[in-house]
Amino acid sequence: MGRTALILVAALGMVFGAIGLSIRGLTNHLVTAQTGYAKYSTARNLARMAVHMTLRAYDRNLSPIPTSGSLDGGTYTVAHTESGDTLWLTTKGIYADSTYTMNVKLLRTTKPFPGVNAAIGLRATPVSFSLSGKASVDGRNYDSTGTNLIGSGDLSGVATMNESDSTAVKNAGGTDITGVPPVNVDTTTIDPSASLDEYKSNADYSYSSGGVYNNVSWGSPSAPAIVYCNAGDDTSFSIKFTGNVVGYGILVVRGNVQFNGNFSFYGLVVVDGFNTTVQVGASGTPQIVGGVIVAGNAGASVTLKGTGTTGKVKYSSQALAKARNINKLRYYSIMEWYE
Amino acid sequence: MSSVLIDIVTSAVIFGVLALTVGRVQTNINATMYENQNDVVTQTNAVEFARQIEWDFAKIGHHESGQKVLLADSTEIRFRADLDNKLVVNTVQYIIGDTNQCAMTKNRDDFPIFRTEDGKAVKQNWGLTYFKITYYDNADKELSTPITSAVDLAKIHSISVAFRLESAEPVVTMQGATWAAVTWRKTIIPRNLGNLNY
Repeated sequence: MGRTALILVAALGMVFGAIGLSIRGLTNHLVTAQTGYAKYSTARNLARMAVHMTLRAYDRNLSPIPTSGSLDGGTYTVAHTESGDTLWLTTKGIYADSTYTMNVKLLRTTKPFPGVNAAIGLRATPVSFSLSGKASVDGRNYDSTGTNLIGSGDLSGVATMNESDSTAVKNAGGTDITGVPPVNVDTTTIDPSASLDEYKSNADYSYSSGGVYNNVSWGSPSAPAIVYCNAGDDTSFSIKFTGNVVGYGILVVRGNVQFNGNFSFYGLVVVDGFNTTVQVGASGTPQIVGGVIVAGNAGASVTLKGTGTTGKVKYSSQALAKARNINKLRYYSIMEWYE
Repeated sequence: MSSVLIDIVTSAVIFGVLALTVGRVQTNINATMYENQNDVVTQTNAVEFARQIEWDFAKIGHHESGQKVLLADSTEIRFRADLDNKLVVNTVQYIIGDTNQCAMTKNRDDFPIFRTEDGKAVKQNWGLTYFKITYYDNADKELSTPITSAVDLAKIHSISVAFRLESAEPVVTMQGATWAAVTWRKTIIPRNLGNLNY
C-alpha cells in the first residue's frame, strides 16, 4: 500500500512537472515574441535618432561628426559621406540582440533668404535714413573679404521702396554712396521680418541687455554664425561693442547698437526697424561686407554713423552666399530613404 | 480483519478524492494551456504581421521616380518600391480576401490577406478579422478612398494601418467561449513619398 502511494505521488509529481514546463515554455515563447518586437522597435528608434543627431551635428558645425554613441540602453553607429550638398548616412541602431539599419540620402537645401539687391536695402517706407560722419556705402561687388572687386555683379549702393525715399537717401548720403546707380528704387526687396524670429531662436550669440562688450568674435569664414542684438525700442538703452569685433554670418540689430572699435562683419546685417542706430566707430577700419537690409516696419528710423575715416558698407555676393549657407538654417530634403 | 477493511475503504476514498482533484486540476490546466496557446499564436502572428507591414510600407516609393502608389483603398494598396535596395523596383499589393477563403478555421469572421510581389501572390492566414488602411495628406487630412487618380495618389503623405487578429479556434474559459484577439494600429510616414524635408 505504502509503495503504491509513493509511486502514485511520484507519477503525479511528474505529470505536474511536465505540465508546468509546458506552461513555462508557452510563456517564454510569448515573452520572446513581445520583447523581440520591443527590441526591434527600440533598435529602429535608435537608428532614426542617429540620423537626427548626425544632422544636428552638421547644423552645429561639429568636427568631427560623431560616428557612434549610446542612448536608451542601446548603441548606434553612423557612417557618413558627402559630396557638395548631398549627404549619405548609414545608421545602425543596436539594442540587445536586435539591429536596425537605415540608408539615407539627403540633399542639403537653403531656406529662403532675405536677399538684398544693394549694399543697403531699405524695405521700410517711409524711412528716416541718416548717413553721417565718414561712413560710406559701396554697391560694387566685392569678394567675401571686402578686399577686391570681383568685376561683375555690381549693384546699387542703397535701394529704396519709392522715389521719395530715394531722394531722401540721396540727399543724406551724397557722394558717400556709390554703386550702379548709387541710389535706386527696388520694390522687390524682400522684407526680412518673417525671418527674424527664426534668427532669434537660432542665434549663436544673443545680446538682450544693455552694456558694453569688449573684443568679441562671432563665427568664422567656414562656420558663419547668427548674432542677435536687441537693445530694445528705447533709444537710451544701448548695446556697445568695443575693441576688436569680428563676425561672420547674420547679424540682427534692433535698437541703439554701437560698434566702437575695429568692427568687421561679413555677411548679412538685418536692421529691425524701430529707432535703430547702427554706429560704426572712430578708429580702425570698421566695415560691413555683404549687405544691410532694413525690415519693413513702418516709420523705421535708421542712422548709420561713421566717425572714423574708413567706415564702409560694401556689397559682397560671396559674403552673402556664405551667410545663406549657415548650417542651422538649412534643411534636408530626402532623396532616398531605405530601412 | 476489520482494521484491514477500514484501511482499504479509507484508501479507496482518499484515492477517489485525489483522482477527482487531479482530474479537476488537469481540466483547468488544459483549459489554461489551450488559452495560452491561442494567445501565443495570436500575439506572435500579430507581431509578425506588424513587422511585415512596417517592412513593406516604410519602403514605399524607394527608387521609384514615377508614380509611387498605384492604388489606394481602405482594404487594398498597390505600390512601387525597391524592397531589397538593389535598384530593382518591385510592385507590391496588399488586398484582403473574404471569409469564405478561411473556411478551414472555426472563426467565422477571419479572412486571409493576399500579398503580391511582382505578380506572385501569397495567401496569408493571420487570423485577420479587421483590416483597414487610411490615408492622409501632408496636412494630416484624411483622404477619402478609393484613391485612383495619379494626382490624388501623389497627395498621400502618411498611411495608417489598423488590424485585428483573432485565434482560429475558440478559447474556452470559465466565463465561456471567446476568441484570443490582438488589435494593432500604426501610422507610417513613408520617407520616400511627397518630397519630405528633414
